[in-house]
Amino acid sequence: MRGPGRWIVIGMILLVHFALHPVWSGWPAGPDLLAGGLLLGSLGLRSSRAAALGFVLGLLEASMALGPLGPTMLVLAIAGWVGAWLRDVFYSDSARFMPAFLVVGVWAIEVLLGLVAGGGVSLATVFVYAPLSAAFTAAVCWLAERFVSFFVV
Amino acid sequence: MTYLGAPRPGRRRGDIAIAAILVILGGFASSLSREQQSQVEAFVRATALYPFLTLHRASAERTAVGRRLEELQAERDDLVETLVRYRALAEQSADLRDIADLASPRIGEVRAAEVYPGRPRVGDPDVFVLRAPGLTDLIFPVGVFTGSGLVGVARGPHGAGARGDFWSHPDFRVSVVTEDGAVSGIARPLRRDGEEPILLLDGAPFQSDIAPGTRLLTTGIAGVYPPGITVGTVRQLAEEEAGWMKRYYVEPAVRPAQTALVLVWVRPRLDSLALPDLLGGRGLPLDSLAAARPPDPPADGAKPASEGPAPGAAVPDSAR
Repeated sequence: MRGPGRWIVIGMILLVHFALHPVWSGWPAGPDLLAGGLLLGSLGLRSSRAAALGFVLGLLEASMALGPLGPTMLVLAIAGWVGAWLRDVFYSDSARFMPAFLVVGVWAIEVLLGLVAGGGVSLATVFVYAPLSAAFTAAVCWLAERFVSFFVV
Repeated sequence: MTYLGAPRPGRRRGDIAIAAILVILGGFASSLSREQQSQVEAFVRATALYPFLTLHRASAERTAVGRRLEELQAERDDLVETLVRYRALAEQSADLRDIADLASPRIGEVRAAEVYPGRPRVGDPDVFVLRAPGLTDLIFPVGVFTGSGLVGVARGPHGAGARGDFWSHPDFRVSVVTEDGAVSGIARPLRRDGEEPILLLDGAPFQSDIAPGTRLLTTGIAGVYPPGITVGTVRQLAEEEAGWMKRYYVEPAVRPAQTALVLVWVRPRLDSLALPDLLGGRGLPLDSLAAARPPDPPADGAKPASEGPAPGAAVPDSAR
């Protein structure tokens, strides 16, 4: 999906993240819709703007979660930049590209955030919880995109 | 014009410049002190995140009210029973203080506040922010508790509220004493892999035995926590340390995840705090202690000319 439809999906995903995250924040492997929204956004933005989006989302996320400001902002800004750069590297119109991109990207963001902002990650997080969370996020983003594309041509 | 989606060279330089600025800003944000970060967070929470936080609070209250109705009724009944039981004691105490000409004890006040805990993974679930009017003029650090027991400690201002640590925070320590006053020690959090955090009573004397189920209360030493607040109940002996001391596992009275509304202690200010009990009810301020203290003995160990308190001088309760 391209154009306004994608931005509706991104806006919706980020709104759901900030509004409903207490529901799943206690789950060991809940969806990380913030990372999903950022990666979807980075697919449609230039690298600097994607980095700026990550920076702002990092500020909001750290303020909401009472986490370390600087590391969270930096990790998400770098994730936005790398996401936009990878879009050019793996330029693809394949329908499977977006879910695969989201799974790998969300997994990497979860692990990086755990390392930099959370002070460390366990092996279970790296190999079980983060992949589950990434798959969950990709599924939710894909469903959201299907849902919006039903209404927006 | 671009070829195969490649950006123009000028645009690429602009992108790199923006990225560099963001990295510098991120580095600057990382170098901010905890207090400065707290102010930035408070600003963001009061502006961009305000609608979401209001939504979270409304949802949590709605859920909690329905679920906790029976619990609240049970708590109210317990409180009524406790009040009836202690009313006679309070009257006795007041009578005795009148007879001994002692001023009434200063125990401070409390303020109710809403708790917003940190989030796991990105955030820190061991910290919280408090929202209530008039918290910024408190003297930090100060104890935070509920009717069930100790919740943690407020460390400093956070916008119009305050920020603090739950008892599960690694830096948390509280001086505790058993209900009968026989054993005292320091309680600190203990987090074992994959388990919920509990408390560990450190420094209990080796010859002491604390039965499982014994309640531990705050001592009030150092004035951060009010005395007599339940910290937890002893579960079992953890270990003995080479004939020096014992450690006990303690079940905390309050779980951080279950707290929504708390009480913040407003202790009396030290500069206006008198010591009527210790100083014979004369109400001497703290800074007059030096004047009340007897002069140091001579270096050769000879006793001073007048031993014992001067006529009318303060005599501690314990010396009577």
